[in-house]
Amino acid sequence: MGRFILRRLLQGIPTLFGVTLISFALWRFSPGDPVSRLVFGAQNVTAEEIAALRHFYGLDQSLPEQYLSWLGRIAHLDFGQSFLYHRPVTDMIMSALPNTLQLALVSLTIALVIGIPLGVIAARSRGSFIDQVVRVFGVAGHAIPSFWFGYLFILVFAVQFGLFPVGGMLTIGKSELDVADRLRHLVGPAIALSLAGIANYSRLMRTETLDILGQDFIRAAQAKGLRPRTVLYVHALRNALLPIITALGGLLAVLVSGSLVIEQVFAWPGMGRMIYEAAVSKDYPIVMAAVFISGFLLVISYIARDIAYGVADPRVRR
Amino acid sequence: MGSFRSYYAGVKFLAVFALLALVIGACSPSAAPQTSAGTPVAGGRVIVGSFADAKVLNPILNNDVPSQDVLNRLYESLVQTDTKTGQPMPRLAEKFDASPDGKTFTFTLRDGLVWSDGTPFSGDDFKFTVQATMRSKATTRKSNFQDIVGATDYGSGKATDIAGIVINGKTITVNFAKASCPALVNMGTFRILPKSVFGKYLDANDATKNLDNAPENTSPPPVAMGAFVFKEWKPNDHITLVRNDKFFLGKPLLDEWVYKIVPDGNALAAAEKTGEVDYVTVEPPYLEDLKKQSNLSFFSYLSPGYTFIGWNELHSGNEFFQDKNVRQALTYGLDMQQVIDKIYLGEGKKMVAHTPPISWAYNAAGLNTYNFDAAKAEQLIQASGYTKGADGIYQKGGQKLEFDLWTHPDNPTRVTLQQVAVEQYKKIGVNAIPKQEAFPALVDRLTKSKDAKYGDQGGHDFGAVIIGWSLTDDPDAYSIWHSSQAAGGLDFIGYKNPAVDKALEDGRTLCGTDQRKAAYQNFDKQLNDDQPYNFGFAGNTLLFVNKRVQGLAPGSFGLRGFTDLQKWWIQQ
Repeated sequence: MGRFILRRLLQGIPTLFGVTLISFALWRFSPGDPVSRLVFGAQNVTAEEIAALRHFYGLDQSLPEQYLSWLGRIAHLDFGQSFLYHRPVTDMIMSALPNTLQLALVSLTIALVIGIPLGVIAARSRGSFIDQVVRVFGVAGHAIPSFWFGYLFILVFAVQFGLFPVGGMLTIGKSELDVADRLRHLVGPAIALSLAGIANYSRLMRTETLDILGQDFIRAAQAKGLRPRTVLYVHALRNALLPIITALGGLLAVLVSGSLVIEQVFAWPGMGRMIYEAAVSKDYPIVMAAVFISGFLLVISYIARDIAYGVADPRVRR
Repeated sequence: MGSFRSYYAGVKFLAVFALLALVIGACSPSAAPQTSAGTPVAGGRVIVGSFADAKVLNPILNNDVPSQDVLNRLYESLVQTDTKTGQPMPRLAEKFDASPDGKTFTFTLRDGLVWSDGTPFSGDDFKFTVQATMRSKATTRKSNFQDIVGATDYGSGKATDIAGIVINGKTITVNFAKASCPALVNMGTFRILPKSVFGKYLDANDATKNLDNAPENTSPPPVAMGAFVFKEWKPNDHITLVRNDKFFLGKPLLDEWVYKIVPDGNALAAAEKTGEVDYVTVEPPYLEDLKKQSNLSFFSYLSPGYTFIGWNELHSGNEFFQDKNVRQALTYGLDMQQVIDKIYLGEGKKMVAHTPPISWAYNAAGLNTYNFDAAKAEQLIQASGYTKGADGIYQKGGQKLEFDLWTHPDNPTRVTLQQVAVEQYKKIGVNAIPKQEAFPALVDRLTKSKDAKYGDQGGHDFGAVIIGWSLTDDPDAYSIWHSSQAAGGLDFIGYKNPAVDKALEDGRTLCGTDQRKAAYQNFDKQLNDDQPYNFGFAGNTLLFVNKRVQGLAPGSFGLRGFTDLQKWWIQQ
């Protein structure tokens, strides 16, 4: 097992290196330059100032030099300074990441806690009314865009009935420790963000559970005279959870990058908005840091997933 | 300063929102007339909603509107422009004067000026701010000061002081090496930093030292000259400022001024309705809905700037843009008033020249209004020898009146103008082909790309473009229209006119109000006749404020929506 993990980790390094190189190249060869965007429309800017700015941002170096110096800084975990915000990128991430994680973990929990049982219940009573409802929701949850749900939530629950705030994490002037106020702000974005997850996991669980319930080993278990509950929750469920683990595999990276749409609609100060704004403004240090971090987490989470597979199914370890 | 207003996502989903608004709007009460204000009382907080966060709270490094919104509350300037006309008015300086040759400016400070921490304010703070700007390697603001005698030498380290700035007690005298009439407003309205805080970052003898990376740029000190003092900044969420009891125009009534970020347009409008934010300027799509809200006051005022269609005179295949008749036809042939009515519900003004119609330097007399006239447009095209082809498009010598019309997709106003232009131009036999590109890429196209044929003369690779200017309070427009700006500057359409150059130079060197006014009228007349742009329209600033907030005095120039902030108060 130890060697298996080590081998996986070593394989991750070139992958990560490749991701940064490709995204660096993609960004730099796409049209649009951060400095000309910055100064465009500002009247009376001098050519000397533009040259000084390019130097200030390190854009006057050749591309290989820029990439190498970026790599060199990454080795010291220094992501550089944002062009736009004049702040260290690390500080900006440390300010946005906890907000994104808070929202992501809450909505993931909602999605799993509701989605998995829904799928199992639907499978157990296949063809029933409950099954129909779960199946319709499975389609609708995917088809309804989360921003649309977000707007609907805001219009109905915030504007019309005044039950929840329109956006933000905390009412201006309230204490950071006001848990009730924080929860009120969390409801809308957390539900909006978990919708697709609920739909996804319930659908997946339903299909898998049905599939497994039809297999020989389940019939054998039933023939042994095990109680139906034991068959379902001990034997079927453990196997049916495998694809959920697969689905969760890439999730860590997604969680950390945040949800642009939900953060945008609910004014949530997270990673998604920060990365989007940086991408639009060609703020390379932030974009590259985001690519690096989500690339790193993606690699790590795939490794973790492989290990989890190894635990669930010993054949994988070979 | 001028910068582009770019509105983010959000408006994209308008169709859905409109539908919902229709359903729910049916329940909303209709607008009621504003009630009387009552007696001002102290206390309370105003929450200003913004679609984007501030970036850097240092006037030397600032390049964006949200940062300016916040830092202008913290720091003050020697003069301030009048909200209605754009003319300079006293601020920290109770008196100011420009010499007739436009080279010497004198400011006399008010008595008893102090920073919020009690440190006296002096001319040294002003001089320090100029020095810090000249030593910065990351600023775009040097043009405000670089013609001051000795300023560039100080910047490069050849001098240890700026000889052109002389402080004598309350009097600041600034000597310029050449006539610079716009300097009174450009230099005079520049925000002044506290030397007591930032002074440590500069070294007279070491030009490599500057305040480009000072932590105070993003975490301002609690030392302010403005009506409010910095308290906290939660990035992408909000910035809180608290009352400056020592504010020189009197202690503000409000306790706090908060800048809250709500990036989505629909959500921002909703937050204004629920009272989560008190003050928003919105894009036209939200106008109709918010006007119906009985809890909001609506202010609408023209701001210096406009949305235009620029005709690239240096683009191979589109040489017809060099023909004045064609350019005039393209103005006659587009019903701009209809566009204003459609996009801005009439809250805007058709532009036929550059200078903002609200500016002291503007004079409508003698300007052609170019009222919509499709027949006249076609006559002008025909007068230049064009004949209609079988496809209904005019052509001459094999060259069709056909061009790419560029804009960027994240700005719904510009996209709508593009659609209307394409339709209406087709009716006068001109084929505009709509093209869109993300804003940074479009900027590259306008300023960096090279036309195959005219690239060496400064020609860029586009036919026509829909974009806009936000203008400075001073009428100087040298950096946009002087022929020297065609190569690499903001005159990316390659327009050159010696009479315009002369007028712009006069506006910079003949500093008497009447002389400058005459210069800019001349300039506008030339542009009005030449129509190097279809000057499009100036959309109003659409400001909604919760009625509990009283004492507002918004206007087009100067402090704009935040004029007289010390007098704002909250109705109990």
